[in-house]
Amino acid sequence: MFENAEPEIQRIVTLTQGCPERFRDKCFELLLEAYITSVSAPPPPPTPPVRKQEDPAPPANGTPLTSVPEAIRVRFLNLAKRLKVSDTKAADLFDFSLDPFTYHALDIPGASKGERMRNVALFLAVKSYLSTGAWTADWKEFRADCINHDCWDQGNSTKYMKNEWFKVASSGANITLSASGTKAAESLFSKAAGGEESAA
Amino acid sequence: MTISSEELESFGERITKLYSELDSGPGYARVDQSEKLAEAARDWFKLASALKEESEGFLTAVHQYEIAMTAVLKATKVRTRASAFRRHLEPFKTSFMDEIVVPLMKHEGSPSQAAARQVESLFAGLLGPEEQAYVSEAARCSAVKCYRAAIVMLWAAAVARLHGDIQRVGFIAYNQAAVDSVKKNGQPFNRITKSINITSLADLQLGRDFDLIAVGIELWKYDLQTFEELNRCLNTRNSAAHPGSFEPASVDVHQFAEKLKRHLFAVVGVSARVN
Repeated sequence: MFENAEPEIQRIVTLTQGCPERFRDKCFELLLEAYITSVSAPPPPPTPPVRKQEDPAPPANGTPLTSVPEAIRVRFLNLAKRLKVSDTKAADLFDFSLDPFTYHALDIPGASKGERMRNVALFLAVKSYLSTGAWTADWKEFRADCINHDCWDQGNSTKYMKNEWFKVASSGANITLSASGTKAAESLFSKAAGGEESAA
Repeated sequence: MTISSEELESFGERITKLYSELDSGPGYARVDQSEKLAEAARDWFKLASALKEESEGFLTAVHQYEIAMTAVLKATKVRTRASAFRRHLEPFKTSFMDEIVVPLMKHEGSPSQAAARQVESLFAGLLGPEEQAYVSEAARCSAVKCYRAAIVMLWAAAVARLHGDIQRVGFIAYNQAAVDSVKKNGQPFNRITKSINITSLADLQLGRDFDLIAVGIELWKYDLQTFEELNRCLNTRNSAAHPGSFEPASVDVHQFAEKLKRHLFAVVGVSARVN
């Protein structure tokens, strides 16, 4: 253990000689202690910086999670966790600076008007779930979003919305998702947020 | 008067039909056609005035359709060729949908309007006429992002329910419940106003809302947790109604409405509504 100690102790003595006389004892003691510590235990590996729980720093390009309204944050994080998508990527889909919050510009997938209309309804249901806990969509909001995405077909809206995903879908009764609709909405949202699941 | 996009759409279809019935040749319009057009023009002026009032300026094109309809109405006063009517009605046929109906559809479908409808629909089938008026006003406040006002109006609906049910069970029953409550020890009973003696609706309206919900434990037999939820709602209402830094958002209004629905409208006065 002390095979290499002699030159080190000699060095300590030399260093101590350089100190004012009244500090020499203390200086020797401190240097010797430091030397013993250095040879008796390996230095601890550098620990990664610990992120404080209450201040989650987002990736450089992500939406800060603190921008998610507090009233919906728990539900939002739970949804992201359940769908195995990055919460910052999921948050990036929304504009939380608006009140009520809404989606940023979305590219609604779908090969036909009917498919895109149904997907608009599913996206709106996710938003409604986050704000109210109910998998529903307001018909007039749905219609306005379809107009904005150029997929509104007034004459065929009833026909297009007659689908297993929707328990109800009419101008008089709004839109309510069925269990399979909820699953489809989650898949669609997950895909939009960069998750693995694809829309049903 | 609230104008919906459906009403406007149906008006547009009516004008298109009148247009197509007009002869495209050089002949004069028939008297019955002229009368129908005059009636349609008058209806349009009513719709246009309501639209301008409600649309907050986003329907800037309304004015040009008013000008067109004014020309139609003037033309109905004299013998006019069908082609002249068709010319005046041309904008209704070609661009009314894109310039008036679709913008109104988009406005109706804006997230603020949808959130307001959600608040109102939460209480569907649960409200009397007086309470409904307050909830509708709350929804209108929410639609224009006056969230503090929306919270105050929702609480007004809640107090209307409490007052209504106290009148139903009688002031004697309420006074007795107040006496019994005051006798009890601890929170919240020791904060109830002593010697409550309500003899009229006016007395009730002058009373404290806190007394209503605290005496309610005795009168409506809800538990302490329900009282505490209602008291939190009352505190939220007070924060909304008084100057301060409280800044509720749309979701806060929705949550406030949900709490009132669950802890008050589904608890107090339900049997009276069923009977």
